[in-house]
Amino acid sequence: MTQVAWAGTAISLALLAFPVRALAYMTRSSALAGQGELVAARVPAWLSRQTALAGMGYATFWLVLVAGYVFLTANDFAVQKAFLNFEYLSRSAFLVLSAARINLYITLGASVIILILSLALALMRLLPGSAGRPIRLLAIAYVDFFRAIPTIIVLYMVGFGLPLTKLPWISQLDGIWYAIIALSLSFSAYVSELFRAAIESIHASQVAAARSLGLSGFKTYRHIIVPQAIRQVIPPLLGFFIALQKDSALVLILGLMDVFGQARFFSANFFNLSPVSLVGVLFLIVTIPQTRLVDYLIERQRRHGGS
Amino acid sequence: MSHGFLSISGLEKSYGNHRVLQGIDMQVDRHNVVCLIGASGSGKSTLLRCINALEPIDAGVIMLDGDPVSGLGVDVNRLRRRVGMVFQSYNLFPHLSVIENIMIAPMKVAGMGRVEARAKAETLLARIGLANRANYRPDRLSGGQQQRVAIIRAMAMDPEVLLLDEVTSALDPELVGEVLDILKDLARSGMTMVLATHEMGFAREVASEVCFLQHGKLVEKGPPGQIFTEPREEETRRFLRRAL
Ligand SMILES: Nc1ncnc2c1ncn2[C@@H]1O[C@H](COP(=O)(O)OP(=O)(O)O)[C@@H](O)[C@H]1O
Ligand SMILES: [Mg+2]
Repeated sequence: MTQVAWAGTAISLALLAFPVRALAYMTRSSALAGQGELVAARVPAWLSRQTALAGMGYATFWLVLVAGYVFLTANDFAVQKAFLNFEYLSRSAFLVLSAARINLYITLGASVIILILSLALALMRLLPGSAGRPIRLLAIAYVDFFRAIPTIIVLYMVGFGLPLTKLPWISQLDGIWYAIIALSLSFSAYVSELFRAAIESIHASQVAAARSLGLSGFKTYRHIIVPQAIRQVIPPLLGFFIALQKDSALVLILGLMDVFGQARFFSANFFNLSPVSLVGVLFLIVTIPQTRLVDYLIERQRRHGGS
Repeated sequence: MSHGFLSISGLEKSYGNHRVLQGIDMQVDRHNVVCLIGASGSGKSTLLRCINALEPIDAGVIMLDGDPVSGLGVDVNRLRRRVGMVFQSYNLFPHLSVIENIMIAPMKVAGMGRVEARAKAETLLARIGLANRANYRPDRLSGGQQQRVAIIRAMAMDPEVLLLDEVTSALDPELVGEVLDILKDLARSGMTMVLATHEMGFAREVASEVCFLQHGKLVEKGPPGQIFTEPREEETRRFLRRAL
């Protein structure tokens, strides 16, 4: 405790070096100005401003660190004990982390269904002419419906509703399958809009070029439009994929022992939130590299695909 | 009235109540090169798009070697295999490599095998001196190179007629020559072509016939020697004075 206090005080005092140097530059600048060296005086004046600004930046950073430390240690480490108790962490870590495979199954299973269903919905919605209208309306109704209803409610309805139907096969699926179905239903509505926007953004001149070569409407979609749309849609699609991973934690409302369900079980037993913190840390580790990748892909696409 | 290989008569096309083509009559014989000239907005692109059935027509008849091009029961995909088209902005497929751009129609439309299609594409690429760019993405090529690829992409289907819509207008001046050279080659090899163009020098050198369009009407047509030196119509004269 005292060691920490000493270290903290030392760092705080060290930060005083910034204003001291800034003052020194300032003095030099005034001296030069006093000798009539107005141009030469600008350099130390500029250095003084830079030093002062850097000092403020570091001081802010330090303040946040100190505030965080104070929060964790206040009331005899009450916060740290509630959220980051190492004993509880180590006792629950293995089971909690291995429960993450349920989230993995759900995420991967739902991803496959979402890709197929959303592309189909997008294509249905883009069917031309009056013959296509009923199908278009169907797709629009679907997308409107599932974008309006919160995912957690879809999950609840599917997970508890389908078993009640007593329908031969549908009512006896494993809980994981209800989770996959519900998340797929919900996410496909959003993802289909991504596909639709991407398909519509492919310029009409590409269609004209394909048709003029004799490709039929279907083949134009299949070989020219959809491949280009998929390329465009990859970065935002990955964004949805990340959201899906996170939303897979919602399945605990179905009583599934996924990573969160398992952590909550331990938390309730220990009367301590450390196992849940572990889940948070796991999501951080898994998600941050992916979001960086998405940023990178978007940036690259912005630089290359000018048109 | 003689009936050419490509024959257009009484062609009408409107967008809303804007009559873009008003009673176009023209004939294109086999192995001939017909140049469409006229101010921007005179209807050249629309005429070419109608010939390729990319636009439905309101009235008139377009016949290709005796087969109607538009109307009920016309298999447009079959027709378009016989008619190649090249656009002002090249319209290469950006997700495919250069050689795949050329192979896609032979494979997916004509049902040619991959090996055969590749061999054919390589031959065509060699002909325009771009064999070493086969695996490039189109956007890594210069505009002139892209347009040359677009031309042989159309040629890969062995079309009976090639339609070209201001294929050099989007190019930097120093790249125009290489594209026109390809077109001259094609003309010399007996390719039937209809081109909309602003390149009067080229039209003069290569065209068998020049058609001058204005406000959707075919004002005057004739051999380039006559059109460029002694046009009959005052409007043609006025246009040429500005264009030359
Ligand atoms: N899709 C369209 N919708 C409405 N008007 C069009 C369309 N395409 C062309 N037009 C009009 O038709 C006229 C002829 O156009 P176009 O055939 O492109 O002329 P050109 O190729 O000779 O410049 C122009 O006035 C143009 O604005
Ligand atoms: Mg035009």
